[in-house]
Amino acid sequence: MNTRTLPDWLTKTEQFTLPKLQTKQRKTDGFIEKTLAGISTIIEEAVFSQKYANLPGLLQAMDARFKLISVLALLLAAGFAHSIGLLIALNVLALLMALASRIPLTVFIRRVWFFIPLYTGIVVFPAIFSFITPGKPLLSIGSAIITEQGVKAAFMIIARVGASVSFAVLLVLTTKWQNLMRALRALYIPQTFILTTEMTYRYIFLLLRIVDDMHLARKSRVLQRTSGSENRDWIASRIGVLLKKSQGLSEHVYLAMLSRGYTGEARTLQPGKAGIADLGVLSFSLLVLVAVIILNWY
Amino acid sequence: MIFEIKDVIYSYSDGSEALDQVSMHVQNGEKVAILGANGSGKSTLLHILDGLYFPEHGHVHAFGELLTEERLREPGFSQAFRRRVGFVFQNPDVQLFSSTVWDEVAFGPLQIGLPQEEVVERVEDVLGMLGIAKLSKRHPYNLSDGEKKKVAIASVLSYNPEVLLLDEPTAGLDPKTQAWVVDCIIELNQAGKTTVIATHDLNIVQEIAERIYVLGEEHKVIAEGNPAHILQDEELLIKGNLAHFHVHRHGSIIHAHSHQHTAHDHHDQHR
Repeated sequence: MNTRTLPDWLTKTEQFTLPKLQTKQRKTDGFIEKTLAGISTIIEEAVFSQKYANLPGLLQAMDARFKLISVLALLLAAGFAHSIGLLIALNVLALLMALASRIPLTVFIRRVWFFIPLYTGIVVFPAIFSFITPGKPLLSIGSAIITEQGVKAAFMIIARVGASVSFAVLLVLTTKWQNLMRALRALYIPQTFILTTEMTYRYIFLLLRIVDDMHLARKSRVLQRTSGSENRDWIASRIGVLLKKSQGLSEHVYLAMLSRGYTGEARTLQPGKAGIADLGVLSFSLLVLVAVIILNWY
Repeated sequence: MIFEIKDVIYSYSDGSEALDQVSMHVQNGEKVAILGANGSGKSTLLHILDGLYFPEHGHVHAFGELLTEERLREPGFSQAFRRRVGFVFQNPDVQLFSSTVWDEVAFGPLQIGLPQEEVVERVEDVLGMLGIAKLSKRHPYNLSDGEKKKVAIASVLSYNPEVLLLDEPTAGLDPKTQAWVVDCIIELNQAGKTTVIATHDLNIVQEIAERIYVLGEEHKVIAEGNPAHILQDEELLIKGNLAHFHVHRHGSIIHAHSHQHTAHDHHDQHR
């Protein structure tokens, strides 16, 4: 007979009193908490962004294939535009398209204009000075002179990036991921690339959830404050564990695909037919592209 | 005969043994369970029956043909075999790799080359039949475990295989979904499907199997028989790690007895 005897210490209740709440507690959120909070935000945003793709708006009503070509035409137009007026017009057009697609302007502007000053702004900042762009002086700060041509060039780059990012954000916000992938298929992007991208998107969430669970499991058992080096060691070891888990997962996913008849070349459904809205927006976008090219000549 | 395997030996890449001299057979229309504790080799055996793993020793016949890696490289053989055998994996996250439920259920019929209209019709039919049509546009990431299991079953049924291999179909599910899965398996078997189910759930074996193979800790078949016969054999169940001795107190009396975690006979057998 297999009986179990609990060790003595396991049969005794150890008494611990919870400390009283003290005022002016120092915040102790470590970098792990911050990183994981960031990961959770990414997950939420990815799922949350589907919310706009489900709204009954102009771009949401379009077939993803036509929307993709329309956005490509508008991106080309932003690339070709060589006057500030045209670039501002394209930015305004993007805002109007966001409104017609029922995307709240605050959400849209935050998505587009949060990173542009941060990255493009820093990159083009030196261009406003005379040592990069010589020209008519506008303002002098000590020995550094800001030129009119420099400011104009910097503004044009920022406006072009702004318009391009706006159209790309519109495409992403108003299109469900799976429809975007289907659109790429219709444009003869290699099937292997699309399948790999789709599966990456699918499994990155699963792996992120595993990371989150591993962290919570550790947090529930850590009894005292851990040092930065301990945290770094733990993160490094978890990265290794996650890599092994993802390898195992990929092998099993491949077997599950084989089991259902996958032979290395995935077959997919043929796309549907275009509607009037699709052709309308597509024609309009192509018209904008042609107009921008013509206006650049004059 | 659907499957016939003889003296199969299989080891994992780290050298540990998964199956040792295993032989079994499955007849057309049968419902067979492979019963065993965790790590006994049940899942590996299902992978071998589905032509995903290949034994180091022994041989496997499926539908009267020798099932080998070389034969499965022949497109005609592979397509016919995959059409006839469906495998529902234990972990639905492994099986649900598409970006929507609809795409997932359409994957199998598309790969075996069914015409587009038929694929659409089958997907709609299966989603409707399993009561998951409302999930069709959902991303698998957002589904509950029970919903994932239903979609995993739908993704296999959509290409209408005549043999269904199910790996721990009720593991981790709530009682209502467990009952749903069991009813679904019974219904499919009554409709003529051959079902081979790996499980350690003694609750469901009587319902889902008319013949059982018990795999022991040594990765060998330690018994074969009908459920009534197997479930009554306490010694066998303890040997197979499917039941254990349990010590507990009733008032001032302490007593010990063998114990199986089944819903219907808990405590009854030792009163």
